[in-house]
Amino acid sequence: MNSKRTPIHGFVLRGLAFLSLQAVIAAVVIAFGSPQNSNEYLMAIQDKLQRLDRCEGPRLVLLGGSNVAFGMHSPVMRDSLQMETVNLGLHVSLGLEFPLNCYMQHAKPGDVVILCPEYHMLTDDSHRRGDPLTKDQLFEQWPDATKYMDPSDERTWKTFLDRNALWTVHQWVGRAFRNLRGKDSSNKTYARSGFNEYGDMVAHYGRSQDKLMPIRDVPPCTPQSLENTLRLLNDFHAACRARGVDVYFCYPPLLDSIYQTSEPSILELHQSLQARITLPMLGHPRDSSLARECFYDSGYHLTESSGKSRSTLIAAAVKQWRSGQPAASVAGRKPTGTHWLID
Amino acid sequence: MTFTTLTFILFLPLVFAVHWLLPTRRMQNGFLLAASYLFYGWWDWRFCGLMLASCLVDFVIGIQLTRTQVERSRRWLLSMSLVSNLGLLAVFKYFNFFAESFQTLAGQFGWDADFTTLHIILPVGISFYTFQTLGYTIDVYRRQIDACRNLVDYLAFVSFFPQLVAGPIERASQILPQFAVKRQFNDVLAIEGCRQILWGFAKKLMIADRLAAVVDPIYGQPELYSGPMLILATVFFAFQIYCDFSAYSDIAIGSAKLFGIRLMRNFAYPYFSQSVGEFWRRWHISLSTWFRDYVFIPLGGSRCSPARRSLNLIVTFLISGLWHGAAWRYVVWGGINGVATATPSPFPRSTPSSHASQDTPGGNSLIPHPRTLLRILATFSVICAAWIFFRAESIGDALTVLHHAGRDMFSPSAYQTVYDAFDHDRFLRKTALLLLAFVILEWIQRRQECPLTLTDWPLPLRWMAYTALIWVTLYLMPQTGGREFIYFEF
Repeated sequence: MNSKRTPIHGFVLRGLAFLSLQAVIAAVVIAFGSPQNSNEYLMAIQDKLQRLDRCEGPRLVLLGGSNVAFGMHSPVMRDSLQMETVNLGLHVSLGLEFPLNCYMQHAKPGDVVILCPEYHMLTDDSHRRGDPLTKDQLFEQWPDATKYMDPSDERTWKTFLDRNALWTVHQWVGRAFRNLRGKDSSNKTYARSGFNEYGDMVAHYGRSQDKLMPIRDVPPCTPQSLENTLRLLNDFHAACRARGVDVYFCYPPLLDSIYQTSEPSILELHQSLQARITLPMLGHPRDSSLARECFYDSGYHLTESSGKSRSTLIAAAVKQWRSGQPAASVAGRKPTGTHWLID
Repeated sequence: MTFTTLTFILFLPLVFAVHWLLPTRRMQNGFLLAASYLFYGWWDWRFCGLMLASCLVDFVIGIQLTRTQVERSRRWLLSMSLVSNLGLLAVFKYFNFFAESFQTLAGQFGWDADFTTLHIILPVGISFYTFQTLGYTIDVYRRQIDACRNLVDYLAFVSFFPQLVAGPIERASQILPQFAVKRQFNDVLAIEGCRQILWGFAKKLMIADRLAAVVDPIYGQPELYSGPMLILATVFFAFQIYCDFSAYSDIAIGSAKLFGIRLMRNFAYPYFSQSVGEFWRRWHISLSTWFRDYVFIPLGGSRCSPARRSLNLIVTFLISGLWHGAAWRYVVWGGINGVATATPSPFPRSTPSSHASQDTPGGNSLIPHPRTLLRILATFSVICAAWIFFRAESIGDALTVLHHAGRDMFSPSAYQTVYDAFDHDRFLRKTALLLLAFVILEWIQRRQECPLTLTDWPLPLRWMAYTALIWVTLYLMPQTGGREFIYFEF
C-alpha cells in the first residue's frame, strides 16, 4: 500500500479534524438544546390537550387562534355556564383545521364548543390551512402534533431535508444558547408558562399595553376559499352533532381601525356565513370591533379586563341561546346588535 | 435542490467523494452530469427533459456550424439556435406577459382581444442555461471556439450543478477546456472553495434572509408605511439582493473549486462603486459581460457617436431588465440603470477603473476620502432608486414608495416611525447591526476575492473564526423554511 500522503488525503484529514471540532459543539447543543420540557409558546398545546382529557365533562371548549387564548376568560365562563372550561386557543398561524382536529379527537358527548376563529382563517385558504413554518415549528418540538394536522400536509424526509432541517438545528442551537446562559423565560408573555391551568393566556395580566403588532386588513374572500371555509365549518358542525356536541360560532375581537378598513370584506363574509353555515352564530362582526384601549399587543389580543367583559357577554349569549333552545340551529339568527364590550 | 438546505450539505460531500474516487476524466464528467441532473430534477424531474432538449439542439447546431463553411447555412444554423433558445424563454417566461400586455394595449383602442394565458411553471434557471448555450453557439458561429464533439463533456458543462440555476453564466471558452482535461485535485483551491461556501451560507442565512423578513412585509403593503420606513426597506433590499445573489455565486464558485473547476467571479464589492458604470462592472459580472459581448457590442458598442453609444447602453439595459423578469417594472429598472450608466457622472473620477473586478473598490486607504465616500453614496442612492422598481410588486407600488419618500422627506413625525420601529423591534435592531458589521468587514477585506480569506492568521485562530461563523449563523438565521434564492425566479 502506498503510504504517500496525497493532497486529497491531507484535505480529507484536515476536513475531518475540523468536523470533529464541530461535532464537539454539536454534542453540547444536543445536550442543552432538547425541546423536552421546553417553555416555548406552542408547547402549551400539550397542556391544553391534557386538560381536555382530564376534565370529565360536560366541558366548555373554546376554539380559535390567539384571540381566544388572550381574549377568553375561562373562570368567568365556567362560573356562568357551570361547565369545566378548556381554552384551546393558541396561534392563528396554526390555521383553523388544526384546532378543529385537536378537538374532534378528544370530543365527548355533552360538550359545548365556542368557535371563534380569526377573520384571516376564514377568508384566506392559506390561513385556514395554517402557516407551514409555524406547523413545522410545533412539529419540531412535538412530533405527535402531526396527528392533528391535515394528512395532505406531507412531512416526508424530503421536505424535512429541504425545508426544516437547518431550521431545526437553529432551534436546538437557540435553546442550547438560552439554557447555557441560564436565561429565564418564565417572565415572557409568549411562553408556555404564560397560560393558566384552563389554557387562558394570563402572562399579560397587569402589564401595561404594548405596541400593537401589525395585522393585515382582512382580505376579501375568494369564491373558492369561501366554499372551503363553509364546507369546513359545516362538516365540523355535523361531526360534532353526531357526537352530541353543541357548537356556537362567534366573531373575534378586532381593532376598530382595522375593522373599518376591512368592513366590506367582513360584511360580505358575514352575509355568506349567515346564509350558509349551520352553526348558531353569536353576535355580529360590528359588535366585536373595539377601541385601541381594549387591546394588549395586537389588534386581536384583548387586555385582561376586556377579555373578562367579553367572556361575560359571550357566556350570557350562549346561556340565552341554550335556554331558548331553537328547534333547528340552521344559520341560527338570534337577535344581534348587543355590544358585547362596553368597557 | 437549494444550496442552503441540509439536502445540499449532504449531497455536496457525497458527490465530491465519488468524483475523486473515479479514475478517469470520462467517468468523472459522466458522474458530474448525473449528479447535476439529480440536483436539477430535485425540484421537478420534468425540468430535466426541457434542459436536455435545449442542450441537444445547441450541441448539434454547434457541430453543424463547424462542419459547414457556407456563410448562409451558418447564419441559418445560428438563427435556429436563437429561435429555439429565445423561443423557449418566450413560451415559458414571457408568453403570459406579452399576451396580457397586448390585451391591455388592445383594450386602450377599444378592441376586446381575449387571449388565453398559459398556466405554466417557470422552470428554475431557464434564463441562465439558455443564455449559456446561446453564448456557446454564438462563440462557435464567430469561430472563437471549436464546437464540442463530446456530448457528455458538453452536457456536463451546461448542467454543471454549482452554476446551473443562477450562474455565474459561464463562457464555453472558459469552462469546456476544464472538462476536456483530466482534473488534478488541488487542496489549496478546495480549501479556498470551502471558505467561499461558508461565507455564502453565512451571507444568505444570516444577512439576506433576515433582511427579507424586514423588507417583505413593508413592500407587501407600501401604502401603510412612511417615506423613511420605505427608504429603509429599500436600502435593506439593496443589501438583501446583494447578499442573496452573491451568496449563491460564492457557494457555486466554492463548490466548483472542490471539483477543480474555476468559475468566473460574479461580484466584486459592487456597493463600493463610484459610478453606476463601475457598479455594473462589479455586479453580476457574468451577465453584464454576456450582455456586453452579445448585445451591446453587436449594437455598435462604444465605437460610435456618444448619442449612439448612450442609446446602445439604454437598449442593452432594457433587454437586461426584461431578462430579469416578465414585467414592466423590470423594464423600468433596466431603463433607469441604462440612463444612469449613459449619463456622465457629476463627480467624475480622475482615473476611471476599467478592470473593476480586479482592482480595489473605493481606493486603497482604510478611511475613504470624503469625495470617494460622496461618490459611493451618490451611486448607491441611484442604484437604490432603481431597486424600488425591481422589488415593488407593481409599478403602482413603486410609485407609492417614491411618492411617500418625497412626501415625508421633511416630516419629523415620519422619521419618528423609523425610530419607533428600531425601538420596538429587537429583530430589526439586530439585523441592522449585523448589516453594519457585514459592510465594515467587506470594506476592510475588499482587496480579497472572498472576505473570509484570513490566510495570514494562524490556523487555530482561523478555525475558531470559521467555527464561530458557522454557529453564529445557525443561531441568527431566521425561520424561512429553506427560502429560495431571489434569482431562482429569473
